[in-house]
Amino acid sequence: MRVLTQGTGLGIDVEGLTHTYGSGPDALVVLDHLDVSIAPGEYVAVTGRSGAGKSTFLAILGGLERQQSGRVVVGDVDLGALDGDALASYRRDRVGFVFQHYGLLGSMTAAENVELAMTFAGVSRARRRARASELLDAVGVGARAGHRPSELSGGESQRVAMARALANEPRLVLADEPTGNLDDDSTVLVLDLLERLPSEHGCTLVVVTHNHLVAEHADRRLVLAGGRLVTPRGT
Amino acid sequence: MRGRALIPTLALLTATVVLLGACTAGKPRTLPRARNGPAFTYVAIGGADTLADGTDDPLRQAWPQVLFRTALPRNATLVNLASSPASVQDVLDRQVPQALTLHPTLVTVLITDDAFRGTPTATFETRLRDALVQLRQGGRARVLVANIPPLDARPGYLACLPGAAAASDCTLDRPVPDVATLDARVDALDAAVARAAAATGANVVDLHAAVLAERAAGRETAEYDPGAISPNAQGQRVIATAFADAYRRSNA
Amino acid sequence: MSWRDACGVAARSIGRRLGRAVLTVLAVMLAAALLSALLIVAGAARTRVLSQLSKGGPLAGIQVAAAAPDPGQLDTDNPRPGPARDLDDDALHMIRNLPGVRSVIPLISTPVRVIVPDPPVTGHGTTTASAPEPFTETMTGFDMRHSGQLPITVLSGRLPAPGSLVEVAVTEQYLQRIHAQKTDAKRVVGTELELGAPRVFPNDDTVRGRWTRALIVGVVAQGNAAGDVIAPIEQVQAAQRWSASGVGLDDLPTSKYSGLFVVANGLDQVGPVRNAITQRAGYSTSAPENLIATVQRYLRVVEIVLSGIGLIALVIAALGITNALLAAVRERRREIGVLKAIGARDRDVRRIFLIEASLLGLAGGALGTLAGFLVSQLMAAIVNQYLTEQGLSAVHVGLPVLVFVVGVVGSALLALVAGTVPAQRAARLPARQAMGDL
Repeated sequence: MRVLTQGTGLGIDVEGLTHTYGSGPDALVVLDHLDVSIAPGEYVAVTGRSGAGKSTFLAILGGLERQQSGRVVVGDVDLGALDGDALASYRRDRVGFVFQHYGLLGSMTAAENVELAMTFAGVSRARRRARASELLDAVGVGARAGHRPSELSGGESQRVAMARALANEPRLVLADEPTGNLDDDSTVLVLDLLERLPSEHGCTLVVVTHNHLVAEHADRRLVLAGGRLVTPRGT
Repeated sequence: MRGRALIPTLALLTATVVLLGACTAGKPRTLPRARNGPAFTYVAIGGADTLADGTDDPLRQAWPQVLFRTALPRNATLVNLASSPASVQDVLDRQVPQALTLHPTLVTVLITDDAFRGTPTATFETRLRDALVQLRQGGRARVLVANIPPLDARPGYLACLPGAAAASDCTLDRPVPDVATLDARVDALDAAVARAAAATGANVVDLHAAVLAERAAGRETAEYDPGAISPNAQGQRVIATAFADAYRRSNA
Repeated sequence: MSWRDACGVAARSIGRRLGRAVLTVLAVMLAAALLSALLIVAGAARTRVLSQLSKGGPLAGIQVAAAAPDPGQLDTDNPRPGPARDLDDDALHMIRNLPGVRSVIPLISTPVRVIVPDPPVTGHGTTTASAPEPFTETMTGFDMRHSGQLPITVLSGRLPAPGSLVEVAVTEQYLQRIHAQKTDAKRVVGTELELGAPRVFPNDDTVRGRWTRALIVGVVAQGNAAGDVIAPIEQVQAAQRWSASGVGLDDLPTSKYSGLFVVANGLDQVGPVRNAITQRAGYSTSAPENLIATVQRYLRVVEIVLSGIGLIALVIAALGITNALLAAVRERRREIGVLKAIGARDRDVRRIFLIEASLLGLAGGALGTLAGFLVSQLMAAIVNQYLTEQGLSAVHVGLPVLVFVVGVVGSALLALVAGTVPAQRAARLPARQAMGDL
């Protein structure tokens, strides 16, 4: 994938992050005073068993979930100080998401899915079309731009999702089990694209995964268990 | 339907609704407008024949009414000034002055009574000429003057002849001339009509020839009801046809 | 997110779940069709009933007779007139200047001898019509340019052209006279009458007719005056002048005008104008004001009830929209989460769902209004077939602008309201729904 933009990723500082679902005696603590730092442009894999809090951690980093306590600073933005539209702007301008289920809208073509992200950013129609075409070519599915998700393979769908994630030039890309639904060949393709994001796109990449192959290619591996980090803190 | 096509389709449907709304059911077929045309006044002058005394429905069946209905433009108006009886003197005294107040476009003249009365030919011709000159209004009006048809077969005349079987049907002043005398008078008066018409620019309607043709075809008897001095509806149509033909020829 | 882009997303979402959308639109369509059909039919019925009461003329019309008022019948709609009183130009001018009067149309009548053509109808086919002996009847004339303001209903053909000297219309009375059925009305059109105005010259004891020929161009029902023949005022004036210039005819009317038709500025002015004509001008008047007011009240109730029925149907359909969209919100939780994940604000999500609701309502409203209009046309065709068989004039059914607006725009607005709760629920969904259940 050729370089689309130049820049650096966002650094992440997490201090005392705690998150609980439910209340009372049935409350479930999924994150327990989590402290972690991620350097700008770093490729970090987050692993652990199911229920370890990995996806919740990702959701908080991406502004999908409001933090309950602790401090999370992404770049120069304290997420705890954001709400409503501010969080939506943070997600739109700074973060790109890649989901296990791809997250594409079935009523739109591949190109329209990529353009949708730029629609919320107020980009003009002409510019949206041009950039969507560029991104889809860059991820190798340019020829499938006019097809709907139901007509794409898993690997193609995930690559379209990656193109969408990059549409607004994010400085932080969060991927939740990006290869969870893919076969081996598609996994390799997607993994290759993911790996090149920090260097070629200038962003910080955090990937939640069960896949050892994915974790091995990361700069650093964080292991969560019981809501706590069981690997040493980063710099 | 693709989402992209939904909005244009909705717009088309809405436009269809609006256009159909402009339509309403049941506009009936109507006649085109009938034109008024230039003013046309037709005055009929004459005697009993023109009043259609011999018909059941004089208003509908009188020959001037038939002529008016069948040969003249729709915007024509008709005034029938005929009276019964009416000699040429009666016509000159009353009918002509009345006609002139109406400024007619067309005048028809049919006077038969003088043949029964024995008006001298010269007197008839002078008075007729006087009437025609006035009616012509210096050429502004067209005048159709009929010569006198044969009168010798009319039941009302025959009833007045001595020894007639239906003498009670006689309405003429007795004594009436015999057939030969009557025929001779008719011929002389017809010649007078022709001279008067020629002198005044009026058109002659050869009613005499028309009735002779009916006689030759064997239809004349049916054109009079028993005891009548004037023709019935069928006979009125013969007169109307003769005048209509003359009118059309004068138009040509 | 712009409105255009939001419309695009909403339209695509609808297209993606077309079956459910079609069912929802169908529900709205049926309700809108019911509402529009009821309103259209109610409006047409109202127009027809009131037109029948006013005999085809304006509702605020008043007939003024060439007669003094009967003191014992001043407050009734249709009083018996008192003794004859001439209506002349002074009276016309005075009435025209009364407050509350919009227009005054003079009527002129004259007796004429009528020769009916034999046969009295055109075309082939059996008929009971026959030509009677020539008869005397009244010919009534008015300025045909104002025919729209008179209580005249054209049953077949049309009215004579203004200023025509060769066209007339005949009334139902003429049909009765020639023993024709009402269904023969159209066969009378195209035949020709001969009309003779009477006159007696001085020194002549014979009544002389001024005969004219006139093409029957229409058959009408009219409540102006008695008589078989309706003609442009120019024809009647010519006949009247002919008759008046003679001597010795006793049955000629002496009044210049046989009547006036006055149109008041509104239904509320009819009473005061009638009072003024009766008391100040001194002429007898008639107008169906009380009857019209009563009937209008009842018609209003009927319209309210019918509108209520239609609106209830529409509300039920709107609840269907709410239900369908709530189900959609539940099913599309992850999709909504993804939208938020890629930058949609709460209000963007709300906008998309409101537009979806509005589009469903708009489609249903447009299709339903069209269907309702077509249903009303079908009903009109069936009714008109019956009316024509009875020799009555047809009902005309159009699509009033108000019904169109209520049907289409109203449906869209109601759907918008119905979509409020689902849209709000979708807007409040947390963005983390994008990741599924955590």
